[in-house]
Amino acid sequence: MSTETKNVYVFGAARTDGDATMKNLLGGKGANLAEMCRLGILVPPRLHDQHRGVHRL
Amino acid sequence: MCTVYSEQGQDAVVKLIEANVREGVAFVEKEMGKKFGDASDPLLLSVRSGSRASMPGMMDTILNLGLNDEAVAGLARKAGNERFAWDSYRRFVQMYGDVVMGLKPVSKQEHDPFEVVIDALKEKKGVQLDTELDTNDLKELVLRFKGLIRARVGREFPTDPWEQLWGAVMAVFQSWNNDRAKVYRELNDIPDSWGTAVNVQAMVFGNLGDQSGTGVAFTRDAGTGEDLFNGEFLVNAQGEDVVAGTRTPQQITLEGSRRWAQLALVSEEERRSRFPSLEELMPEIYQQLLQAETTLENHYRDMQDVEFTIQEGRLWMLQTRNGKRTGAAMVRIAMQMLKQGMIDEKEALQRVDPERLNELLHPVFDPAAIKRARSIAHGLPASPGAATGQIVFFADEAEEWVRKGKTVILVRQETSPEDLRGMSVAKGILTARGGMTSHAAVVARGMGKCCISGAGAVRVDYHARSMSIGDRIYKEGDWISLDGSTGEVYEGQVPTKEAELTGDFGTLMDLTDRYKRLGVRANADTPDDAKVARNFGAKGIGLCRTEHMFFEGDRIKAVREMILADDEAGRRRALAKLLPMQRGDFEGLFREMSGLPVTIRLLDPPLHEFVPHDEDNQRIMAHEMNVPLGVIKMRVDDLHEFNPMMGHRGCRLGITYPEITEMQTRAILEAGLNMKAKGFDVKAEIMIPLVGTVREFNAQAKVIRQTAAAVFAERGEKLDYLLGTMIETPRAALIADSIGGQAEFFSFGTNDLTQMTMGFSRDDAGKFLPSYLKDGMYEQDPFQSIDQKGVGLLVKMAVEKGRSVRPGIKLGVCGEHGGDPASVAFFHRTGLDYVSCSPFRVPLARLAAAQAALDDAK
Repeated sequence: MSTETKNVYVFGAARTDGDATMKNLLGGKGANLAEMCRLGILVPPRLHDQHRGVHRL
Repeated sequence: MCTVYSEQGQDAVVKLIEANVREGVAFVEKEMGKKFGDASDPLLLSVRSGSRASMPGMMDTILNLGLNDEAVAGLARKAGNERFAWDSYRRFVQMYGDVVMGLKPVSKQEHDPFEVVIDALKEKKGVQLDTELDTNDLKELVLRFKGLIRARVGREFPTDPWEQLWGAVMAVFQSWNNDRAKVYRELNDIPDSWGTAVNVQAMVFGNLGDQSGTGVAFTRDAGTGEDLFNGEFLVNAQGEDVVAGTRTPQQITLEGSRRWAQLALVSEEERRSRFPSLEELMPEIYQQLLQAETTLENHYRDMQDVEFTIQEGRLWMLQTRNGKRTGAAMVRIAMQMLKQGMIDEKEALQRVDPERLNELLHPVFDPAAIKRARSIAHGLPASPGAATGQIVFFADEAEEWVRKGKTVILVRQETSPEDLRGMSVAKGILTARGGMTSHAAVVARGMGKCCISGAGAVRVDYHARSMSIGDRIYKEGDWISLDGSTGEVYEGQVPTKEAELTGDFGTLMDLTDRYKRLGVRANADTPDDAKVARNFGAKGIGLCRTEHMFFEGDRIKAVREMILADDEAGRRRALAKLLPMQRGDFEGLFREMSGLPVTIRLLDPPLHEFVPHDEDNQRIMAHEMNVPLGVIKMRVDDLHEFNPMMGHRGCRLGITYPEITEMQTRAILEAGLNMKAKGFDVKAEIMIPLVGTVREFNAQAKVIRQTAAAVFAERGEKLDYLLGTMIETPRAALIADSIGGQAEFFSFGTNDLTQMTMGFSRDDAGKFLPSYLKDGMYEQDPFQSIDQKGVGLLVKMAVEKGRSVRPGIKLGVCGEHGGDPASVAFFHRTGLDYVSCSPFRVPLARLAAAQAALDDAK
């Protein structure tokens, strides 16, 4: 799935979508949380709805 | 998002995002091994916004979502702690009722309605603290809260977890457009169009007993920049307890704890028993946290602000971000990371926001005055700086007072996001409660504003509009002074003195010179200004406004005499009185700026600026000059102009009254010769203002050159000087090649050039510019940051035209834009030689110039 069209991102111990470079998409907090998961730091699992479809309305 | 929300309602939004959200919740359920909506072992969620920029305190976060009357029992069973479950439920209903359902105080005097209910119950039970309420009390509170919501909002509290989730999601989107978020975006130049996303995350709990807790930590000191891991935490608490400042937080490190105890006047014994550090209390967790902060700082190569929760001995990181910091910390951290080899020189320069340098230039308390000052209270040094002002207790009133020209200190029990506007206009902020990471502290550091938090001895009485400290009472309007670097509160006004470029700040400034191409001069009218400017690294004066010298002391009398004179002879008599005074001024400037260029602009403003317009002062003037009042009135009427900005001013004055130009030229050159004789290296630049035609320039040039020849003949000695012009009328920019054939330098007067190109005067723009900016008609105030696409084009054109006829022509900018980072970058790209700005903006311009050069290289 291309990141351009993706609407939902999740991260936790099992799977991490995204990283610190994706601030515009995930928000600063979200991107940094994803990055922490990548660094092996324990973070409560999370979903991020990025509502692209809504903006098109 | 909010547009959709308000126009099409919740259903439309839910329909759009439902599948995504359900997919995400399924993932979270799997990770946590729990089910959302499972009453026997409920998965609880937090819902918060996630926008591109960090906006502290701005977006409302909902915690414990998913609880209802059944799930609370399930949670109680799972946690083996019924009280905790009901406390979470109570908090959730309270937060959801406030944030999502909108049950808030209706006036600023009204207390939070939920807190009123809690207080009533506590009173009935005869207890003081929330923690003294038992499970049954909390059950009672949930019941009362729901009743309160029903009565005041007219809706039932939702029991279905999914219904709760959709409501919270909507609230997040809606909060993007609430007033306080808008204010923050306005203050920080964040475009409305970014919008926000929504984040749903599994809850972890810091309030599961003694082996749980929550806290905030910084990898370096956000106030001073010191390389010292620090932060605060609370045992058996949730995140909002730390930020709300309702409990005294404990320090994370032992070192920090000892320092805190010293400031808070807590003995080592009491500290150890009542407020031990995390390092002492939970050594293993502390080690994990230390490891995480090291990993994170090394990874991001910047100071991190982390939030964490400890749930029954397990450390969860909730957030990391580049920490907000004061200007001083920004400089120190950048320079220390450079020394530590974490970043290179270029990055160190890019790390500092030029605007924030202002804070390092703020005055500090005069050490002698501080010794005499009476200290009345002590709090935490939440954000450094020195502030003196009158006490105000309400944020909106702080705004009002400041509008009336007063300087205020905002004193609050604690601050909340509603106080943002008031905080931004106050000189300083004092709170009675809250730690180093309370709302007031974090926001004040972000604003670079002096703040003392948690001054426990201060009792605030909002109704009486007073605060008491011991047996002393301070009322609204009384003066106090805050030292945000020590946490000391003083009675009355304490005098301040100017800051200096020293230590890391000085090193950073030296670094700018290694990378910048653009020169930085200062606008300075007096030797004192010149001295300050030179200390801040100005390489000359780009603009000396000679008219400012005309207002000083008795000089205004001679100026008025000249204005009243009927003929040239009379004007010359008055000018002869001004000559020695002006000469003295220029001597001072040449002395302070020895070896560096000093650009002196000939008289610029319309003459009516020098005469009184009200009858009382006209009467005084008539008396002083011994002429009838009628004569004064008539002359003032004669001088009246419908549009002074475009009237009889600039070189038009020198052309109609060449004797003024003569006198000023003489004063400049005689001063130059005098100082040269004393061994100073004089580099005078004479500048003709408001030129629009070559003939204007030539006519003034002729007067100047003839006067110079006369002065040099009289003195038998010459002085090199440059003769140039302001480029500030659009016509001058258009014919810059013709003017450049005659003028040896151009200085762009971008204030006037902006006014005349835009077709509105800076003095009248206040009536429409704010709404223009709000509506996005202009992206920025063109007087603050140069309009690169329009006015900038004229500058660019004049630069090219000027260089085409005189390749070595000196090109500079004087005016407010010389101290605006974005404009400085533009002038760099346009190829100017220097910018000139007010002395206090010189360091900013130097850094902005270096950053612009670094951007070039990219």
